[in-house]
Amino acid sequence: MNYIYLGLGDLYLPAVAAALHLGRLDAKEVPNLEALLALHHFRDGKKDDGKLYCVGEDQTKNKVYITCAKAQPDVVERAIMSLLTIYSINAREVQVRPCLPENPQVVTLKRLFGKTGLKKQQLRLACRFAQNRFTDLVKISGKDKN
Amino acid sequence: MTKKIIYHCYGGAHSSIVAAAIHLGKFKSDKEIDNEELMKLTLFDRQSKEAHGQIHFFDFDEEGRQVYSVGCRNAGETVKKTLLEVAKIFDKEKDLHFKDTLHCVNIKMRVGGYISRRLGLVKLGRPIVLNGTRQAYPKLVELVAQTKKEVGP
Repeated sequence: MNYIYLGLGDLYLPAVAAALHLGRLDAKEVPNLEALLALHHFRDGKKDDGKLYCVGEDQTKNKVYITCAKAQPDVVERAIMSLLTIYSINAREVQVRPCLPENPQVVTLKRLFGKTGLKKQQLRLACRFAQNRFTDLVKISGKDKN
Repeated sequence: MTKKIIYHCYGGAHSSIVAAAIHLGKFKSDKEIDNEELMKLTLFDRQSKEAHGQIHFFDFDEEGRQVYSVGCRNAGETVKKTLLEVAKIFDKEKDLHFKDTLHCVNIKMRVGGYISRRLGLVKLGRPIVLNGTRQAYPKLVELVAQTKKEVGP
């Protein structure tokens, strides 16, 4: 099976969810700034729009991918599932797990920081954002059941 | 491997549907089209926003290629890239061909489509979108011819 963690506008949340899935982050503890910044692909997804990154394999040899959509993640999710149908691939082969912000305006704010050269502030905001959504990301990655 | 041609636009209700129908030779003339022919298309001006992202199969063309349409809202490029990447997982990306029909869309199609699909005022929006589609028809015919050439047999 393949797991795809889908973000909106950037890879911050998918990177954290994938790290939780792969056991690279402790689900019981909210990660600190350093732990988040050390994650692979924990970044602004300006150039990553629609690109799929394989971040590893879990214990049961399922591949874990992350990606982001600059807009309309629901449409992207439906299109992926639809593509599986047209290729007669079992829908269980791919599981799309959206990791979306509660308020999409945060994504705009992060982008604004990036555009104006405030990279440090952008990363800080991204970290805070990931920390605030951590409980939900634990649920999304299925680690709340362990 | 059967080639798959996917025409995509904003709502998947007008330009991509007409392009797919042109591709399959559903219309009598390649110069002009009438409202009746357009309304015979099952999906024309009938898509809802819940169906955006769903890929619709139309038929096989004369070369045995499969023709599809999909509405991607303003994420056409994202959907295209993501689907190609997902197809790559299963080693199937080579037979997928996407064609954006949005640049054939004129202002009448946009306004009429918005009124009919988004606002739900079908009686008001549909005549405008029909008129716009008739005007855009030659452009769509050209786009389909170019697509067939690009994709090859």
